[in-house]
Amino acid sequence: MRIADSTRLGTVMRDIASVQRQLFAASRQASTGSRLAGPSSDPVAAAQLVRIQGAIGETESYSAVLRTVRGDLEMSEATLDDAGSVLGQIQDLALQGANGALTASDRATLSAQVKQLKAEMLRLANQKGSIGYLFAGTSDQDAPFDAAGTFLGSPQDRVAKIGPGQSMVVSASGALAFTALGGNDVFAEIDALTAALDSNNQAAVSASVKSMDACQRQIVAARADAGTKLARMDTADVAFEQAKVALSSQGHAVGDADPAESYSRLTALQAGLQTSISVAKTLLDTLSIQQI
Amino acid sequence: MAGLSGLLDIGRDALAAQAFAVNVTGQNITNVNTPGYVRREVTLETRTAGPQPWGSVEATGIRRMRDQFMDARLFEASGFAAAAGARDDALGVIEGVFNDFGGTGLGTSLSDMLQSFSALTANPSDPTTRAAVLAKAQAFVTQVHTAAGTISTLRTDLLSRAQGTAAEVNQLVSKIAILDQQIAAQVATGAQPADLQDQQGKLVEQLSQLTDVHTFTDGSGRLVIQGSGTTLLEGGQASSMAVSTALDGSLVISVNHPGGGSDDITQRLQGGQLAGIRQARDVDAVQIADNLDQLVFDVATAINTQHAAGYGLDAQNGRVLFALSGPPGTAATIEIAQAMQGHPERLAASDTAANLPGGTGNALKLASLASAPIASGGTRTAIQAYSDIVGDVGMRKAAAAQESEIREAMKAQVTTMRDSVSGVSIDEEMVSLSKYQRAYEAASKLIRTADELIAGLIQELGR
Repeated sequence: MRIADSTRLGTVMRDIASVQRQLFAASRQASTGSRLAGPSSDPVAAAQLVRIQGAIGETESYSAVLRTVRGDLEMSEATLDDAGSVLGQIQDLALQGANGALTASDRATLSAQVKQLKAEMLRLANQKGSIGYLFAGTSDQDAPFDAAGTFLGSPQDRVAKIGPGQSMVVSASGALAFTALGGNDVFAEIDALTAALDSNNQAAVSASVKSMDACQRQIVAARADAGTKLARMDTADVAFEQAKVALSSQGHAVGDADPAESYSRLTALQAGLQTSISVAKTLLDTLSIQQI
Repeated sequence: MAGLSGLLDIGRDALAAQAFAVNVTGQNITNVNTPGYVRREVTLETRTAGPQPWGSVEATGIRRMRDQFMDARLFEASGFAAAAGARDDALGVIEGVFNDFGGTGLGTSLSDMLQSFSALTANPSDPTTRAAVLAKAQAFVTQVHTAAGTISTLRTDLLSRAQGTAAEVNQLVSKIAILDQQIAAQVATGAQPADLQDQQGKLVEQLSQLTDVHTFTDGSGRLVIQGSGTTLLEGGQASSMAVSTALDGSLVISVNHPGGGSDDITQRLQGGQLAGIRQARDVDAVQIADNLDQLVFDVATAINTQHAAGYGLDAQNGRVLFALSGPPGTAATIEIAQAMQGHPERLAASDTAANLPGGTGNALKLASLASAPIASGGTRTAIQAYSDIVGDVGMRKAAAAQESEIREAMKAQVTTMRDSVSGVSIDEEMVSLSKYQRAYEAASKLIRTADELIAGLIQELGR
């Protein structure tokens, strides 16, 4: 085949341009660390990367939900713990009040103490967290108990999404902890105790000792329930962290360039370009009849 | 037998013929880099001297070294390469829309919006959380508008480009027609219009990059250009190409003939930039835009349906989050519903009015849409369907890039083959130059010898 000058020059130019294109792609890959310049670099991997990034976003959103709700639930648990202590103190006072040697005046003094403790108990039951009132259920923007201890909140618990297809109750139920819905109306029982003390009714005070015990068990159960939920959140959070790490590493495997490989490829192509240019120079300098 | 003066005649013919050959060689050397130049070879023939057994030499003309078959293949190859290149360029623009590996694109905003409902379940009464959900929905709408806008602008640009290309086609065909007339006129006088033919060849090659081109010469030696089942030039009469749009917005490419009548070649175009532009604009871009519209429609419809079932903080239900139309056109027109704009408190997180403000029954269902098969006819999740679009765009662009590369390689190969016939080789021309130079010197020597012989004879006879 005749080789025309245009063929010789054209081939040299095309070859160098081709190596330069490859070199550009390799430099981009080495400098960005990403194997994918765009979806066309590897369409299957690109689609997979989109799904992985979506899954990472989903996992992160669940972690964020847990971070948001956890604080209030921890606070609920601590508050129920305090409520248990207050109720313990009331129970002690009831035990004292059940003593037959006490006078009406002694019982009146005890009653005054119980009333103060009830106020403390109300303060705890109306405790506000970062989201809203801890024990108000879904009516969390209003205090759940009025001054008398009547429940105004919602028996409906707050529920959050904490995973794909998973939701959980993220509030401690004030209704179950403090009202008859949990078996005993704590504030009514305290009121019954103060009434018994005020009326110097030893038998009624003795009966209140038992009911205080039931209320205590009710609050402890609510606290245990909050603890269980916190534990579940911990487990979920760990699982999300693990999933996030796994997904990230999948994402890296799909989208990242192997640094050693990209560097060696870059070096090889740089050497290739140099060779190409010197070969081109040789070709263009190749003995031409003009030089003879 | 030729006398001594006959020898002088032979020498004169030889000088003329070799000088002509040197001229032709010089022209080849001069035009080594001229695009479209076809190398010439001088045709030397023996000049007969009647019935005599001797004769001299005559340069009867030149030969343009070209192979019609090779030219045809080159036109075809450069047409396909230009088509693939044009499609590849256009798809590059669309690929940019779906290239959001950096986490700032459409996929991320879709994912963020869907996940924002999970955040809403954590704190449904918080105005900031609610405002964030609305902001994510707005960000999604903005990204969708950007994507649809980019595709739509590209289609408008490609229409202008197609119209520009058609104008260029018309200009080239007109120039080729004029050259065809000039060539015919010169051929009629017995001249060899090689330079005009070179110019014409170059223009036809340029034309082949714009549209389908098949050339041949008719019975009277006039150039005929056909392509996509129609005739662009025949008998020196040029047809004109026009680009318009159909009712559905797709390109209509027609060729109007000088004698009346026109052909719609839209569906028949295979080569040249026009074919690539049409493929990218009316096939690739339309399908990608349709897929995007469908995805946006599916996602927004699912959210709207669920949202309408819940209650805002104002205890109202039945509100949709997005104002929708289409498909088609959903991606370009979707907006946050008027009633929801600036009203995050109206986000329907609760499934009953009784559970307000902390109820999350509906927010939970909205959050579940992220992992529910709400797209692609209920078979894919939103992110999966979006990843399908990304994969589809990537595959189209990769296929176009690969085809462009293959077509360019094929064009380079055919160009090499064509140049092996038509291209100038300086080495070869230098050898030719020496060859004709030596022959010229020898002819000079012949004349000098004849002159010396005659001079010697005159001297002897005059003594």
